[in-house]
Amino acid sequence: MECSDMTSPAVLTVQGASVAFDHTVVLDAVNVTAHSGEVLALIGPNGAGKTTLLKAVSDDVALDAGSIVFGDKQLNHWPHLERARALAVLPQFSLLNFPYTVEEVVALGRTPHKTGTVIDNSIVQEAMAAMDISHLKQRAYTHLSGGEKQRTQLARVLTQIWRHDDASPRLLLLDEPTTALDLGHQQMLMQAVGRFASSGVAVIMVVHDVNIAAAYADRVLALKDGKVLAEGPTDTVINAELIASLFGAHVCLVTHPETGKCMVIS
Amino acid sequence: MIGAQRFLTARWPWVFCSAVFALAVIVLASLAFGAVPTAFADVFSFIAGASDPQHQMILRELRLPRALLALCVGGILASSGAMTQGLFRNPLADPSLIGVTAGAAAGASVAIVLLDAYHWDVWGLSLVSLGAFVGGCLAVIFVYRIATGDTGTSVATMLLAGIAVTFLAGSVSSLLEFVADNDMLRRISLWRMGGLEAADDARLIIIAAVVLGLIIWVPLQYAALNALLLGESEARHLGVEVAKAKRNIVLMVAAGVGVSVALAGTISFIGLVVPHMVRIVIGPNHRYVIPLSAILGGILLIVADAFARSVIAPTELPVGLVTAFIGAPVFISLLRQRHRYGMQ
Repeated sequence: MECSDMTSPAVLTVQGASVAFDHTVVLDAVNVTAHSGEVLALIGPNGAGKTTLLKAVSDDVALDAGSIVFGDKQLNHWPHLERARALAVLPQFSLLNFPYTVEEVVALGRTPHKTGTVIDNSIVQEAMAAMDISHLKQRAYTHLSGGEKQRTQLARVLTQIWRHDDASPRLLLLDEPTTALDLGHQQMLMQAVGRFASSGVAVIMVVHDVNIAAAYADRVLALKDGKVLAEGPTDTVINAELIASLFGAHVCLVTHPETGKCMVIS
Repeated sequence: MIGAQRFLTARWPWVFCSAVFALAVIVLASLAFGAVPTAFADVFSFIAGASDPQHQMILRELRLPRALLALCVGGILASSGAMTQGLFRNPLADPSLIGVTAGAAAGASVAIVLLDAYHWDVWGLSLVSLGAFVGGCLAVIFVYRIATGDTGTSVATMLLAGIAVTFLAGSVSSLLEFVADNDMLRRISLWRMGGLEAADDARLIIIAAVVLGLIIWVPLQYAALNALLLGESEARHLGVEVAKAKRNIVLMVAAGVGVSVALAGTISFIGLVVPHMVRIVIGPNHRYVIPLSAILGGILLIVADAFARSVIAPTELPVGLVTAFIGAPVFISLLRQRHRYGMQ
């Protein structure tokens, strides 16, 4: 971990983050850092504070104590537009009920940029290709299946921070990106996110499925009752004891025969 | 439908110019309709400046101001409808949802009943119009205040507050009607049905100023409105200053609809139906929906008004009645078909 600190600077540093709703502590003095080129997974049981932490990092929830530094300044000191060029957020649910075409939805990701239609359009086409939705581009968003909608939204979010030229550092926040997806598209999406991270983006994702974290995350942060239970490189953090104390579930860990990564079997 | 949308948006300058041209043709054609029989030839000689004094008087003093007022009011109502629907993320929203129409009706009733001042003029405007404008604005400010708390303005609360304020203003109106005499009652009900017969230069100048302001200001909100359709936090993540955008949109709708209602009474369904129809043709992008709604709204109100003044000539129907009679069935048929074009 020291090694990764040396090679890639921290894009995001959360220190002592605490959030309470109506005197119920949801986040309790959480520390976390995200580095460019790295996928960080937030895991934990329902109500552990994963989504709240993600919302604090996307400035949707205000901290009661602690600080969040993004790039070279406090998260909430960034000007709106500048921050939108560097930080993109994939929501868990989409409320869109107007019949934009898929291409229009993806193009909305370029809203904060002033790079001109030619550049914007080529980015939109590339992002649609990466999410395997190019063939849907003229379809109405409202007519898509849940998984197609999710891929469209992810393409939009990627479009927002697609180019290194537009902003540095870049941070991508994903809230349960694979929930509505079939197995093939889960794989495709997570590989695309991995490639995106290697291009110099820091990725923080909330995942429900520990196996997704085990297979695709570089580092894992395990939360329970708003506190950090464990944090570190994926293969050292994820073990049967942690899973048992996180979820109260008895599981078996095996090694994936091809990738060598660990897998959780319940 | 999407193929047609793509075709039209790719040729947007042409589409826009054709729509403006159609609007100009409709304005001129509408001049031929009214109580005094007028041929299209008379309209042409009026444009050339060579018509006889009687037609010159009727066209210049009565029908042209009226057509232009209808154009402005229809345009404002339809574009405000498009903005309201975008703000509420609901294709079935209407500007009256934020209380402006009911507030204006209450304000007009106050002026008619308590001030008994139908014939008092201030800057060429009746006190009734002023009362309506003030009432409409007060209602919107009230709704906006209720919905705005420490965490920002909640659109859902605004919707509910709009309903509450509409009821409140409605009971104020009813109370005033209860104490009003017969003559006042008739004036209130006529005002409510809407009409453009009071069009004159003073009113035109006022509404033209508002239209000009909106033409400059509304396009600055297109990107925010488009992003807001995704959801409020999504729009914020795209760099939109959501609170400011919401306040600006509410302000524009209040000013536009407030003035329209003050000058022409309540004219229903234009703000609801027109943006809906435009979206079917060109998709939900506000960059296209708002200008096209404004033009189509103007056209529809001009046509409805021409119909209102000629169908039982020499008597005139209130134009609000005509728009409601045409608008309601059109809206119902749109409702029944909306799944076909991807609206949910």
